[in-house]
Amino acid sequence: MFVVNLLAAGVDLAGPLLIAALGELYAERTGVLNIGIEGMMLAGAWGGFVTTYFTGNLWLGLVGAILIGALFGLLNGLLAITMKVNQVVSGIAINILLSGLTMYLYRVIFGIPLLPVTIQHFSKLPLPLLGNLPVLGKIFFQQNMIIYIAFLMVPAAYFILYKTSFGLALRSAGEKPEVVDTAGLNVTRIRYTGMIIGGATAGLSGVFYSMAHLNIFANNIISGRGFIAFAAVIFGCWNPLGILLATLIFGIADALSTRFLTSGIQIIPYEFLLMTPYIITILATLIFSRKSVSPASLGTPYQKE
Amino acid sequence: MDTETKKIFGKQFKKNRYHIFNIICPVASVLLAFLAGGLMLLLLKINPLVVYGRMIVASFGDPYNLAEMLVKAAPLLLTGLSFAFAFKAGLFNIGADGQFYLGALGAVFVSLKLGFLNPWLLLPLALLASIIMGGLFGGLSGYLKARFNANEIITTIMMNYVAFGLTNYVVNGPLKEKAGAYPQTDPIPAQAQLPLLISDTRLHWGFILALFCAVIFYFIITRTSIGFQVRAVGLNRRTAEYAGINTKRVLVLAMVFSGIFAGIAGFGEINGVQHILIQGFAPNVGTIGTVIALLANANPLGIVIGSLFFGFLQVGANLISQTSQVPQNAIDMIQGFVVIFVLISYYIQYRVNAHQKIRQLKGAL
Amino acid sequence: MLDNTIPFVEMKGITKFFTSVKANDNIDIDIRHGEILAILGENGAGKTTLMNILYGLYKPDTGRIFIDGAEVVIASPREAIQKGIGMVHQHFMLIPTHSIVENIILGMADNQGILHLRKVGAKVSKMAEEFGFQIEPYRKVKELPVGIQQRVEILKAIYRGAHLLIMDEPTAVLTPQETEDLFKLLKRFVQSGNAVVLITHKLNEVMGIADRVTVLRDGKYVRSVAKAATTEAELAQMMVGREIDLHIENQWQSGRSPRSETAKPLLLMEDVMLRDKNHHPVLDGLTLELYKGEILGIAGVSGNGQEELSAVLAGLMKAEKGRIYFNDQEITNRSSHEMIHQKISYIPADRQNEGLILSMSIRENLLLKSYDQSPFFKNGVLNRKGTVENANRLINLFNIKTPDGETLARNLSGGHQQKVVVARELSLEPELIIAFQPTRGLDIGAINYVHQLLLEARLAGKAVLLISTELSEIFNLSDRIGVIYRGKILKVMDTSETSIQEVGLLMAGVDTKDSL
Repeated sequence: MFVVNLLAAGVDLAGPLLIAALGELYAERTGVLNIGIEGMMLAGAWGGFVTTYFTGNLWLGLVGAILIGALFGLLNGLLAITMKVNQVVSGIAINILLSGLTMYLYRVIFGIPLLPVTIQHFSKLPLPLLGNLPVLGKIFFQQNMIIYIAFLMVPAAYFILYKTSFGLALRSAGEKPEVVDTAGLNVTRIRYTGMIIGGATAGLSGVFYSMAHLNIFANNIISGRGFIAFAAVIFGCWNPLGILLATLIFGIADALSTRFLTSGIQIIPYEFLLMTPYIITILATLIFSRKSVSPASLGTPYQKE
Repeated sequence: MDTETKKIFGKQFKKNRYHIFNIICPVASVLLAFLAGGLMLLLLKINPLVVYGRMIVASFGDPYNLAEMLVKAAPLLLTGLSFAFAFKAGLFNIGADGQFYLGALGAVFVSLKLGFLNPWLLLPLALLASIIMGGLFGGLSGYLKARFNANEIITTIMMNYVAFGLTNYVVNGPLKEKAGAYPQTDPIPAQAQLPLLISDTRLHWGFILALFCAVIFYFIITRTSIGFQVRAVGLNRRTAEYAGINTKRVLVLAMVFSGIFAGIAGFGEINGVQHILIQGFAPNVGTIGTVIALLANANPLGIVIGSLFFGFLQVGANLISQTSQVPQNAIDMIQGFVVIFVLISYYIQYRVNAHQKIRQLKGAL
Repeated sequence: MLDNTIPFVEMKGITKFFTSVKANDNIDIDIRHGEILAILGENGAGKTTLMNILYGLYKPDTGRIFIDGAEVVIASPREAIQKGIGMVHQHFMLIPTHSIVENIILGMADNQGILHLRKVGAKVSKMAEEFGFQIEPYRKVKELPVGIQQRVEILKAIYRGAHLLIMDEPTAVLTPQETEDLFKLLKRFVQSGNAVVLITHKLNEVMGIADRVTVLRDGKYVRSVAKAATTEAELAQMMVGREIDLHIENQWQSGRSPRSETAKPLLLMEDVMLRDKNHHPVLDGLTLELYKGEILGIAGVSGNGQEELSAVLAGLMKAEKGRIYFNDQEITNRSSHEMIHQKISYIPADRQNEGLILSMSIRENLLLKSYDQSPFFKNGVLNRKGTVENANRLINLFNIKTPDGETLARNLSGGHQQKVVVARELSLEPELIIAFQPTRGLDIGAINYVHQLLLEARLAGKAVLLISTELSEIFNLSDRIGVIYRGKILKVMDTSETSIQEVGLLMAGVDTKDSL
């Protein structure tokens, strides 16, 4: 039972990472890094929370989160693609701005409440039939809505990237933009699209933390998970299935560390378990840097002759 | 200079006119950031002019607060130098946060375990420990870059979280306070504390150390063989290789130096200000330092000025949040605006300068 | 029969400037239905520029283009494709990580939304079969040999409706067998009234496949002839037979002391072998000897191993086989640092990316190779005064036009940039100077000056290895001339005993003395 509970918790924690990482995948496949993913997740958590608070509708909250994420994806595109600011720098700038802006606006809207403001949230939604399956039902099909969305996004990403002309253009822009250009497509527009999708999904992912996992908003609600999602793209070798696997591993490591912390049983210190995603990713970069699995033009602005 | 040479280079001398523009641009963008922040303050029905006025008066009007600005500036200055050094070699060290934490870890470890020593011995040893920890941690990323061509942006970001994890482990385990209540170490003994520069303030000798590091940075970069090689590699790795420079060695060394500066920041915070290592203390010191270095284009004097400015922002924020309705995080927001607007102003400068060049070329034809 | 009175494509009066160079100067050409037209010329003759204009990549400064008699404007590759023009560049416009089919349909208007990979795959396979070869349409391009990649490029162009195929130096990367297959394919392509333009500098190719030849030289049109009406020797004459600029006429003769029979070579390269990343040999058993006090010119069409030859000597690439001796000491595969300490100086071909750091001052650029040397650095600390004096001395000595040593290298003209490189290399008091394209892109005055310096170095007893694709430069300076072809030195001759024609033919891999 311990194992099943652990895996169920792991899947739960993997879901938002998966959404954000898949979004980052679109951006990176077009050749741009979205380091601002951390801030955009925070913005999504904030936007979803605030929208739901005022409308009382979780689904509108979801839309609000996606829109605000997309907006900052657009801003990052403006900096990194049009103004050719270094992509790491533009991402850091957005993270700094959003960590201040969200908390300030929270204060503007809610003042200084004695108790944290709460909203209704996405509760667990066991699926009929599937939810009753032994073991698997508990692990995969007694989750909340956002987790189901996350898992549906994997085949969707696979289909879009590999089976549509849109996906082909995205992938080409990240490999050899000059070929895309001579084929008569607009590299800048493609890269903007990637950045906006990355922002929108980061926003969606943020919803999980303020509207499902918890039902409050706080400044440390994301605390580095954006960078875990970022890492999952690398460890997942820039492909949707790899990213699914990576986020599951990272989610289970996270769940395990919480178990260690609460149960007091420690095989290894839980802090070390929390480090595993990062260490795994460093090891992955060592292995992959030789095989060059990353998009060939990742991080390089496109300069037309 | 003969007349022909003058004719060729005359256009360059005229370029000074644009230098003024290049100074106006960042200043204007800081003002714009405050304007944007002011509009946000209006949302709280607060008059931004009153707030900004009070911020300036309170920060500069009182010696204690003035000293506090320097206290806040010291670690930012060092992490700024940390980013800048690697940047000179063409590397992006995003790991100043982690290197800072490990430096702090080294300093606190020595201060606690060897606390019985004479301060003249103890403080240098604590400093050395922070140098070694920061240098090794930075150097590791450099080694991975040189040996495996692993992207240093990714490894340094990831290693930040490894450093946070290590620090959390240490303050919850081996070095947890004897009382056992909070995730923090015991306070370091008095002889491990850096003496104050000005009594009745928190300003300590660590600030002088940070300034000294800026001078060392400048000296290494402009006056030594290794600095020359670092710049050569950063400006054109290919030519550097052609010139016989061992570029891999230079990359590792640059990251070692980079980590050392951030590590020293950790020493300054532990032995100068905090006197204790608390889980999650001084968040973003590395990130803000990185941003300062970027805005200053890795120039040490610019980093000094930038860190003083951000020190002012942070002290001002503390002061007004204590005395008015303005929340502390308003200043985080304004910091964010500053960064974004300065980046945009650089783009505008670039476009204007490029436009001038094209006009010059057309004029020449 | 096709009506050949109206040419397929006509380009009239095409002129194209690049900053100050006239890449194309009032060129007229015509391309007819059903023919393979070779555009022949040396490197820099303007062949590729002319065809890039036809493909919509460059806009001509003057001139008009007609297709089937009607004037057209081609502003982009997309428009060129719409008009039935396809081009296969020297560097393939393929995405290595994508499959063949994906590369072919990228950006195609008839494949929007969901991709019909199977359908297109079948179509592409069938097209390939029509041209007499097989492909696996779902294989990734990076897994294919270069020859097949090139066919994918051709299929891509044909799939997009190309009736005129421009091939830019297509055989440079191919084995002889692959070349033969390519030619078969091209012949089949033109049978149905299509046309091929073959950009080349190889005479044997022209004779092997072209129907007609248009020769360009120095950006100007020379002549168009039917292949049947000309000979290899005549074409070689047209291609390289410019009046040689004899501004330092026969300098090589003056001051030349005859080498004694017993003299030992300063530099000896034996059977040096090096492969590129595709495992093609780029240095293929290269052997040469170089003596003190002489200039050995290495002539050859670029891409025949010149880069690798100089890189191996500069310590930037490692030879897989073979030995290099310098001053009777083996120096094979030493690092660039050690080569510099052996007193081997290197003037690289690309001064801006290999020779200089443009964002550093002249003073610092002059210091680049002395970063660990006294008197400029003592115990790792810079002796600023010493470096300033050094810079001022060299600026005066080499007559570098600059206000002072602190001016950035970026702000110098090309000629003065090159003077900085040469000044640095000569100030190291080398015994051997490798000069790789030392005058590329310079004006006449600067060229003369650099030549003068190399000749002075030779008189001072230094050895110079001059690697250049400029035949006039080779002939004006060299005591002996070696021709490099496919990674080998084909032949070394005394300058007085050879001719431009002979060297030109050797550069194309033809040894006249052998065949006669």
